[in-house]
Amino acid sequence: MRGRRAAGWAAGLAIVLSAATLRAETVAQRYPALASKLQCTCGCATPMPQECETMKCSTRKAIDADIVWVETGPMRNDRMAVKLQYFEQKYGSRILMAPPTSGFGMVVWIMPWVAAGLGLWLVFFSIRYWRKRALPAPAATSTGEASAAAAPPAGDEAALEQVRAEMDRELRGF
Amino acid sequence: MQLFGSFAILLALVLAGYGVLAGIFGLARRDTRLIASAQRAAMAVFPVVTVAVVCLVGLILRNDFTVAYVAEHSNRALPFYYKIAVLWSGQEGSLLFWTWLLSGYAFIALLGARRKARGIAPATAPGNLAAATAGAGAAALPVPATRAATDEEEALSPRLAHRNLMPLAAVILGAIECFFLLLNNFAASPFVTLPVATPPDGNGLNPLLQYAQMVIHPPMLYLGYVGFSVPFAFCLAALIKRYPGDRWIHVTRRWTMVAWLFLTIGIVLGGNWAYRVLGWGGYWAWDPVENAAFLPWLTATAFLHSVMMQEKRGMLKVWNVWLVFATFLLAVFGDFITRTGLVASVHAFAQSNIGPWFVVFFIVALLVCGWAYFRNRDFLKSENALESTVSRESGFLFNNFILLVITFAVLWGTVFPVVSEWVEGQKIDVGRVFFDRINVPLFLFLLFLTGVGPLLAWRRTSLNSLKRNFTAPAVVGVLVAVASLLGGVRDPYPIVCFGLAGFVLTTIAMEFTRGASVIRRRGGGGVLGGWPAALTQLTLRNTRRYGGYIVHVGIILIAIGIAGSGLNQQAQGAMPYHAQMRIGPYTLVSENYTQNDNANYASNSLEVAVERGGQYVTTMYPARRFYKASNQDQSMVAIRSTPLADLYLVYAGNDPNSGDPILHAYWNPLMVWIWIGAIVTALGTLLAMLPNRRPSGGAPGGIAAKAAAAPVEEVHA
Repeated sequence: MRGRRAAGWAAGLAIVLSAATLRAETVAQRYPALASKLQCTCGCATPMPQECETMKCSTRKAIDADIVWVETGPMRNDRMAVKLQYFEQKYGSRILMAPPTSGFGMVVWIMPWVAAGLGLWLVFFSIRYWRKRALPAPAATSTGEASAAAAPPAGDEAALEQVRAEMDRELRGF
Repeated sequence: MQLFGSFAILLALVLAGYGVLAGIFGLARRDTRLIASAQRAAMAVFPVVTVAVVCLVGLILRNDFTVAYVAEHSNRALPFYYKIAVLWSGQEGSLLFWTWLLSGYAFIALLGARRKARGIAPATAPGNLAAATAGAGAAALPVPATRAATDEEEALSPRLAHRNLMPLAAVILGAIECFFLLLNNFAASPFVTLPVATPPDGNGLNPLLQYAQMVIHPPMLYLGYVGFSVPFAFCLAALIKRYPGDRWIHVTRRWTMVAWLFLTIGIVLGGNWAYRVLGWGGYWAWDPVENAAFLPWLTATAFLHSVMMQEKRGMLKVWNVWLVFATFLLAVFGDFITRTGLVASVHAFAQSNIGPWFVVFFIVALLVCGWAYFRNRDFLKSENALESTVSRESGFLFNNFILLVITFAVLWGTVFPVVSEWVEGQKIDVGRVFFDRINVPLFLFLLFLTGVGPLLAWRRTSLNSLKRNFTAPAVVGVLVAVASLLGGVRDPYPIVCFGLAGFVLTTIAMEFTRGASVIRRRGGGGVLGGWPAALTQLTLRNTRRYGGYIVHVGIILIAIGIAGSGLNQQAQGAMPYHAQMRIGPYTLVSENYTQNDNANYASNSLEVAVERGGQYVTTMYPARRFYKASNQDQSMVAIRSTPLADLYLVYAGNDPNSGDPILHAYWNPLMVWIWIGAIVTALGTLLAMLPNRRPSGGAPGGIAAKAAAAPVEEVHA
């Protein structure tokens, strides 16, 4: 009977200890996950997991404490977006390592790719336009660039060989 | 001295204003005497602004705290060399410094035009377009003319282009000078006296600026920013004058290279300063002020590539003109956001009231550019067409496309907080995650093009040529990527970057060896006849091409260094006596803790023994200083650099409970290659600016001579 009771206590203790360990691990794991999405707002813009050495920084400790509070307090089970919203409301959007991917924040992410798409279209349009305009091997450009004029007609292997031979002959004279 | 300085900047404004007005009237009336007078006035601006600068430096060195600028930015205990740096450490002084550099550039350009005019006088034949449009101004300079230039010479000589465009370029440079001199005189004068009693000592220089790099970094950056005014002036002048031929673009390119070199050095020194001073283990944070320097660098880089399309094929003229305009406008924009507090930055100057001045100047400059373009756009028609999608021309198009997308992304991310505040009433800040996510893949594609572009032939590249040129580099690239994967690199970006670095370096090595082997076969390797001599000959025969390749090697080395940051490690902990910490392959042992005090600062220093595999390696001394005048403290980082990795130690403060020193250690692989790459880039640029050395013997106009001076694939492909 006594042995059973002792075993029960031991099992209970083990469960409590495991739960405590699990909880500690969860907080330890959660901290970097949240902190890596935040940056110091003192002006250095250093990610929270790193030290801010730029100047006397009074904000980092407060943010650090807030991260621990969020991960251990009533918000611990909330979605990451909700947690980030809390920090954004308290410290402003400067605290976020990356702009939000919703609302007007989405625009910042989209625009570079829109510009890339337009640029790509412009490049292909230019290539197509120029190819349509292309004349069959102009004799010499008005830029007077000897090198361009000296280039053989595209794909003309015979002319290429001729140029190579001529070049070799002249190089012998060096 | 303060009054003398004030008078000097006022006189400089009068001279610059006269230079602009006399230049405009002289050009309009073709009055050579008036133009000559305008140019002399423009040249006189530099010595007069120099007097103002000397006055301000004198006031700083004399600790004259009656002057507000000196009291705000200097103090008695500041060492001599940092007192010189006070000149550009504040808003007013740095604006005067900017004006001084700008007038110096204008002075050199005008002096160059006089020297260049000494060989050939402008033609006066009625049919000569240059004489009709530009020659009047050029002839104004009292130089000994030996013979008249022909029409062909007018069109083809970069020397004549420089000289003939100078009168109008001087007017444009003078107008820019006027803007900055207006600021110096009426908006941000460095010679204003304090309205209150003179303080016994000044506030001192910001501790963050008390480093050797900070003495060099701002002047280099300013030389870059300001330098873009010169190609802008020549480009705008050529467009307004409809200067014949394409030689004006050579003048623009050369000046752009000078500014690009300085800006590159300035940006890298800034990164090096951030790395060595700020103590967060990094070198680039996509801060708005960093971005402001990066933006004109990107467009200037795009121009230095696409200008070859215009020089070789008479294409992309509109594009090039707008790249030069954009580079100048972005330099002005950078100055604007740095000085007005438009966007928050740790590097920015204090907020000031000069914002509207910059806005007006920016709008006027943009309107002038637009007017000049729409009035003369028919002058910029392409002379040739693209013949194949697989060609050097396409390579340049894609190169420019990527560079411009990066420019847009950086600009967009930089101004987005302001845009979001306008639109939503709430500021949305953009951190480095955005910039990294958008730009890293684009930069990797740019690296790929760095390898591909030079191997493509002008006009068209055949399939055989592609196979011949790309097989070996592609194999090396794949092998390097696999080796880095096997070596423990798991992040995909560094793996791709290392692979591309292998690919590009192989293509460049092939280009050098191919050219040098031809010279060696023909006995052109000099007395020794070896590879070094052949490579030297090859490089000196076409400095622009091979200098450009060396620049590419530098960029690749920088990319390798940046990719190394994907493997960084860090650790932090209290370090009482004999405590140990492990980081990378090293064990750090706390040996001692010392304190020091002098007139400028008090410091705490930690002595850390570094061991590797139980063997002593070195001792490092991270410290923390408290600057008395400014009442600020600052980390003094200790760094041990090796080709493989940097060990980076920061004294992070003391434990509030135990008082033990806290050490933050970083292990940064391949970091040193960023700085080596920057040096290689600078050397390559300097080489590319040298004139080609003509090979001795051989027919001067023959194909061999052209082959040495022209890209190899033009005759190979």
